[in-house]
Amino acid sequence: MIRIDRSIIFQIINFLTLVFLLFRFLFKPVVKALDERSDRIRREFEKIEEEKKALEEERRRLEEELKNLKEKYLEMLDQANREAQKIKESIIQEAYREAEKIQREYERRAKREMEQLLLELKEDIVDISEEVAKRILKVHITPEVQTRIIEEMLEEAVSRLEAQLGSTHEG
Amino acid sequence: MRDREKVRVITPFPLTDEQKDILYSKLSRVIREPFLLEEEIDPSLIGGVVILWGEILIDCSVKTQLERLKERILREGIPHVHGR
Repeated sequence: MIRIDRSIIFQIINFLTLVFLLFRFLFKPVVKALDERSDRIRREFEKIEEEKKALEEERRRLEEELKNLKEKYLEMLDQANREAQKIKESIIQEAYREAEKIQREYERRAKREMEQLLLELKEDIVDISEEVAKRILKVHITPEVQTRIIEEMLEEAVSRLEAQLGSTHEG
Repeated sequence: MRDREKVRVITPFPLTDEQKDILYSKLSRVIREPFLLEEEIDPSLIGGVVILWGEILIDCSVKTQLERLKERILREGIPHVHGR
């Protein structure tokens, strides 16, 4: 027959009690604490993940906004370039018109001055010619020439006068 | 007796008898009564004669012809002179 020592039974009971106590007061709180910590970490991860998603979304939005701004900037730059080109062309055209106007004015003035100079020159030439003709004629008009002048010119004048007087008397 | 009509005759130098005869004969065609020539000398006339009869002026002086020619040249330019 097997003899069971009483001390062994007490040891087994003690051991079981210890196991129970350990399980009840140590393992359970530790497991609970570990679970809580795990949950907290998971929540933190989830929170971080959400924040990450939000940040990603914000980054995309900002990128889109930046892209739009860039397009808008390029469009405005293009518009400004076109406007500048138009203004430039307008200024050039205006400058050409002004230059042509000035040129025409100068040409008109030059022509007028040239005409005036030519007229003055002509007058001078005619004055000199008249003076020369007078001097030459003074030398060359002899009594015979004077007689011929009187005869011929007076004949013409008297004939005209006769005609005038005749028409007056008839009238 | 009526005074004879007076006709002023201006020439650059004194008239010769021949010139006076020409003047008388030409002027007699328009002055139908006896007239007297009043001679006057004006060397600036160069040649020809200027006659003043009442209000009638007959200017046959070379000076006036030259002035007319000058005015014409200034107005119309130098006239073309054709070859002989």
